[in-house]
Amino acid sequence: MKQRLVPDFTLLVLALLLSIFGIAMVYSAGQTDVLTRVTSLWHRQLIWFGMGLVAAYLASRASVRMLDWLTPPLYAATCFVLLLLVFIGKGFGTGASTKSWLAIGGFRLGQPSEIAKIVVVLMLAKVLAARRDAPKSLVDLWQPALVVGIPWLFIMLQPDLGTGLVFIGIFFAMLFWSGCSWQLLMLVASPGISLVLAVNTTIWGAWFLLLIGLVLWYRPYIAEGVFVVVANVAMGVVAPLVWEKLNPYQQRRLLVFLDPGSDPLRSGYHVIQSQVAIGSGGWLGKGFTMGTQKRLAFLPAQHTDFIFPVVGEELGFIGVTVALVLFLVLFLRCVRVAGRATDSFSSLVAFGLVSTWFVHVLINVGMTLNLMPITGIPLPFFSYGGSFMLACWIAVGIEIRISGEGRGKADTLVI
Amino acid sequence: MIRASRVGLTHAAFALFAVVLVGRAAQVQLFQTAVWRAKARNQQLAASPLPAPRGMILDEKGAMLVESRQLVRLNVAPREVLGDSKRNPVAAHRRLTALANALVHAAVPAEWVARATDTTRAWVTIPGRYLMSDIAPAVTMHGVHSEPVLERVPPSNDGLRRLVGRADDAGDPVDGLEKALDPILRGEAGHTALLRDAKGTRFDSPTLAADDAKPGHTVVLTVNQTLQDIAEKALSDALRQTGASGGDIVMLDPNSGEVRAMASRRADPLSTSATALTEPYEPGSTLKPFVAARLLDLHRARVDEVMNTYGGVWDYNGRKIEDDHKAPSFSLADVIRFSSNIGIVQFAMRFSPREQYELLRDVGFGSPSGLPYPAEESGRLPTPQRWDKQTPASLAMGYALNVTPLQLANAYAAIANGGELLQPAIVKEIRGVDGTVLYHHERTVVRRVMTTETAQIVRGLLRGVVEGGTGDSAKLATFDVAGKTGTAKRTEHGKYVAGKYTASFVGLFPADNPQLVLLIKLDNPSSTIFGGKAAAPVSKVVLQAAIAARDASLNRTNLAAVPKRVEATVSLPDSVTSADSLVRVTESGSVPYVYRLDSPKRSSAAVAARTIPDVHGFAVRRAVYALHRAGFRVSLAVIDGSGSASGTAPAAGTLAPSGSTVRLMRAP
Repeated sequence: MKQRLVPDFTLLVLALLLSIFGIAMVYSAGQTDVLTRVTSLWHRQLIWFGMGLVAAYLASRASVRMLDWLTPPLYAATCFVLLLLVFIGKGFGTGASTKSWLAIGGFRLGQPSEIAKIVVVLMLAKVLAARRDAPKSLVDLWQPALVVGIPWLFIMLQPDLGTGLVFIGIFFAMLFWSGCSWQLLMLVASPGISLVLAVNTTIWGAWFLLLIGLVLWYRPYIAEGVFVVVANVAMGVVAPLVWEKLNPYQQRRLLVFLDPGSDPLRSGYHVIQSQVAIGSGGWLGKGFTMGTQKRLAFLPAQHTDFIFPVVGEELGFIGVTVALVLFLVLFLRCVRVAGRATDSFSSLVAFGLVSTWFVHVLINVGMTLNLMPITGIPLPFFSYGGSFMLACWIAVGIEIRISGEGRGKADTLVI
Repeated sequence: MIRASRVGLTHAAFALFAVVLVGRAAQVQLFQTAVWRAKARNQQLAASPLPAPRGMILDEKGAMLVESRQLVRLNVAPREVLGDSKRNPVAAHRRLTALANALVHAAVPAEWVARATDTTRAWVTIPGRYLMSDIAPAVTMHGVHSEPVLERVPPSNDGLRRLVGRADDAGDPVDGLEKALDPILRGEAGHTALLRDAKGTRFDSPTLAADDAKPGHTVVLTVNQTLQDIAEKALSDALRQTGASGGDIVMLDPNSGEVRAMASRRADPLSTSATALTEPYEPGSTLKPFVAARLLDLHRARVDEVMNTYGGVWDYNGRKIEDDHKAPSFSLADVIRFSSNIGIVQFAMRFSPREQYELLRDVGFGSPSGLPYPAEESGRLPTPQRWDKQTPASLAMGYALNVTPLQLANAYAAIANGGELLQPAIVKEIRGVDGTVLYHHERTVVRRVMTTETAQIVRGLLRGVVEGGTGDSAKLATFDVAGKTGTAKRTEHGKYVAGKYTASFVGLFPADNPQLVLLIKLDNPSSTIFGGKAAAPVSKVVLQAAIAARDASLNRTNLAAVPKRVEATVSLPDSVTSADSLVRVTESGSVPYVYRLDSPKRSSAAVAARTIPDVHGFAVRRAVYALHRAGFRVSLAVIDGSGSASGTAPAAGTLAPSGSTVRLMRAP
C-alpha cells in the first residue's frame, strides 16, 4: 500500500527562509573593499543548497524503518572515516589547524564530522530506543556513552574542540529526552563540572559538598556513588594538569573569553572585532552589504564562523532578532515533531537533530556576543560550508519524514 | 514514554536561551552602540587633517606681503598601485613603471622611488614637500594619496618681517602680527576622508565627504610697500654711511594715524622684533616742540619771547647744561630752531611737575599705542612723585623717559594734523575670503593735545628748524619740510656712556598740511653724532624717493597746493658757533623767526617748483585758468578758445618751475 506523505510545510518554509537569509549573508560577506576569495563563494553555497534540497527530498522519501535499518552500517562507516581522518585529514580555511577535511588526490570532498553528527544522533536514538525504560544508573549508560564516545574521541584527536562540544551536547540532550532523571544527568556531568570549577578551590569545594548531597539523595549503587565522587576529586585535582596540557591557542581562547581586553591584537581580536561589528549596527544596521567592519576586512572569517556579526552590522538589532526568532520557531516546531512521533526512535532522532542545531546556534551566537569562549562552530543555514549545508538539509528531510509519519495533522503552526 | 513535562522544559530552555541571546544583542547593539561605533570609526577612518591656509597679508595698495603656499606631501600604497596583479600582470607592471617615472620626474630621490614601488610595502610616506605642478601626474594615479601641506612665505624685506612676524609650517604663529592677529588669519582646518582596512591599506571612501578647509581672513595693512622699500633702502644706506649700529624709520599718515612704513635694523642677529615698537629710547631734543606747544597753549610763553641762554653754558642745580649752538639769548622760536637746552629748561620751569607730567602723558608717552603687536613696549614715564630735582630739566631736554619710535612719531602726528592725538593703526582692513569687508580702520581721535592754532605755530617753528636750523640737511628743493632733530646720549647698564649717541630726526612733510610724519633714528652713528647731520639727510633721501615714486600714498593735489615758499631760502652755515652775527634784534626786543638774508648762491632755488595740474577734459578756457592759477604761463597749440583740453606738455603731475610755460593741447 502506497502512503501519501504530507510534508510539514511550516518546517520546510522555516528552513527555506533561514537558508535564503543565510545565502544572502554569504553573498554580503563577499562584498568587501579588499580583494577576497569570498566574493564568489555564494555561487557555491547556492549549489550546495540545491544539493541539500535534493538530499532532503531523498531523506524524506526514506521511511523511518529504513533509517533504523541503515543506522548500524552508517555508524560503522562514519567511525571508520573519522579514524581515517586522524591519519590523513587535511586542515583548511578557518579550520586550518584541525585535520577535519577528507581529501582524495588533493580534491577536498568535505568535512565528514558534519555528517557524523547526524549518524551519531541516529545511532544513539537506536540504542536508547531499544531499552524498555530510561537509564537509571551509570552502568545503564555504558552503551550510549560508547556510541558517542568513539567518534568523539576521533574528533578530539583531529583536534576539533567545537564539534566535540556538540557531541557532548547531543549526548545530554538525548539522554534527557529519553527520560533520564535530572539527578542522573547531573551525576554524569559532575566530573566535567568539577573540571571547570577547579579553577577556584572555594567554588570547587562548595560544588563538591553539593555533589555529596546529591549522591546521598539519589542513592545510586555504592560503587557508582564512590566512582562519581572519586571522578570529581580526580577532575578537581587533574584540572590544573589538564590546563597545562591544553594547546597554547586553546588556553588563550579560554583566557580571552574571561577577559577580551587581555590580548586585543591576537586572540582577543576576534571577539572585539565581532562586537564592534554587531554593536556598530545599532537598531537598523548599516544596510545590506554595507557593513564597514566586513568591507574593510576587520571581521575575521566573516563568511563562516563570524557570519552572525555581518547580520548584526548590516541589518542591526532587527535583523538579529528576526534570525534568532526564525531559529526559535524552527526549534519549537521540531520539538513538536519529536513530541508527536509515533515511536521512541523517531522521537529521539527528531529531538537529537534539533538539539544539534540548538547547540550550534547557542555556541556560535554566544561566541560572537562574547557570552561563550571562541570555538570554531558554524551557524546552521548561514555559515558557508558545503558539508554543513548538506547535513542541515538532510536533517530537515528526516524531520519532515518523522513529522509526516507522526500522529495528527503536522502542518499547523500550533506549537 | 515522552513525558509532557519534558516538552515544556525544552520549550522553556529554548525560550530562555533565545531571551538571553536577544537580550545580549540588545545590550551590545542598542545600549553600547556609541562605544562600538567609536571603535569602528577609530580603526576604519584614516582621516588626515587638511590644514587651512592662513589668510593673506596685503599692503595698503593691495600688494601681496605674506601668503601661504600650498604644497603636497605624497603617500603611496604600493599594493594598491599594483591592484589585481594576478588577473592582469602586464597592466599592473605598467602602472608601477608609470608611477616610478612620475616620481623621478618630480625629483623624488631614487631611494624613495624604489620604496614607493616596492609592492611588499603597504604604505610609504615620501619625505619632503612638492609643488602640485611638479607632482600632478603621480597624484592622479590609483594608490597615490596626496596630502596638502602649507608653507608660509614671509615678507621679502627685513622691516616687514619684523613687523609681520613669523608663522611656522604647522600654521602656528611665532611672533609679530601673525601672533597678534592669529584668530583672524587662522582658518578652520578640514580633513580628508580615507578608509583604512585591517592590513593598514588606505583608500578613498566613496561615501564619506571630505571636510574642506576654510582659509583665514585677508588682512590689509596700512603699510605702503613702496614707502617701506624706500625706508629699508634709506636705512641700510644710512647705517653704512654713518657707521651706526642700528636704526629705525617710522612713517605714518598724521591725518589717519595709519602707519605707512616701519623699517628696523639691528647689528644683533637675534633681534627679530619690530624694534620701532619694542625698543624705547631717550628721545632727546625731539621732545622740545611739545614743551613749546603746551606753553603756548597755556599762554605762558610767546614765540618771540627771548630767554637768556648765558652764552651756551649754564649751571642749573649744580648741573652743567650746554648748548651746541652757543648764543647769549634765544627767542622760543630759536630755542627750537637751534635746539637750545638752556633755553628749553628755563621755559619748562614755568610748568608745575604735574603739568609737565601731564603734557608728556597727553601726547601718549608711557602707555602702549594699542597697535596689535604682541610685544609692544609702553616706554617709561616716571610720575612726579618719583622725580628728583634734576628730573624736570632732564624731561625738558628729552631725557629721564623712554619712548618708542612709534610713540614719538604719533605724538608728532598731533602737531601735523592740527592738535589731535590719533590712535595709530597698522591694520587698514580685514576681508573675508569672498571679499566682504569685515573691518575697516576709521580715524580715531584719542584726545586733543593742543589747539589748532598752537599746532600751526609749532609747525612754523619746526619749519624753521629745517629752513636754516639744525635740520637744514633735511631740506628739499621743491617742498617745505618741517622737523626737529635730536642728539641724545645713550645709556648702557643705566649709565650715560661718553661718545655714544642716538641721532634722530622727526620730519613733517610737507610743512603745510602735512601728509607724512617721518621718524629717523640711528643708534651710535660714528661719522657724526648729530641728529641734524646723521638723521636729517636720511629724511631728505626718503622724501625725494617718495615724491618720485608712483604710489607712495601721497595726495598730489594737496601737494600741488603747498609749493615751497620762495622767501624761505635762508640757511645758517654749519660752522656757526655764535648766533650773534645772524640775529638782528628788532627794536621791540624780539627776534623774528624768519630771517631775510641776501644769499646769492641760493637764488636759483628761489624759484619754487610746482606740480602741473591735471586739466584733461577741461574746457580750454577753464584749463588755461587752472594753469594760470597754479602759477604757469600757458601757450595754446591752436589759437582757438573752443573745445576741450586733452593734455599738457610737460605732463600733468610733473614738477615745473613756477612761471615756466606750459603748452596746452586741445582735443581734436
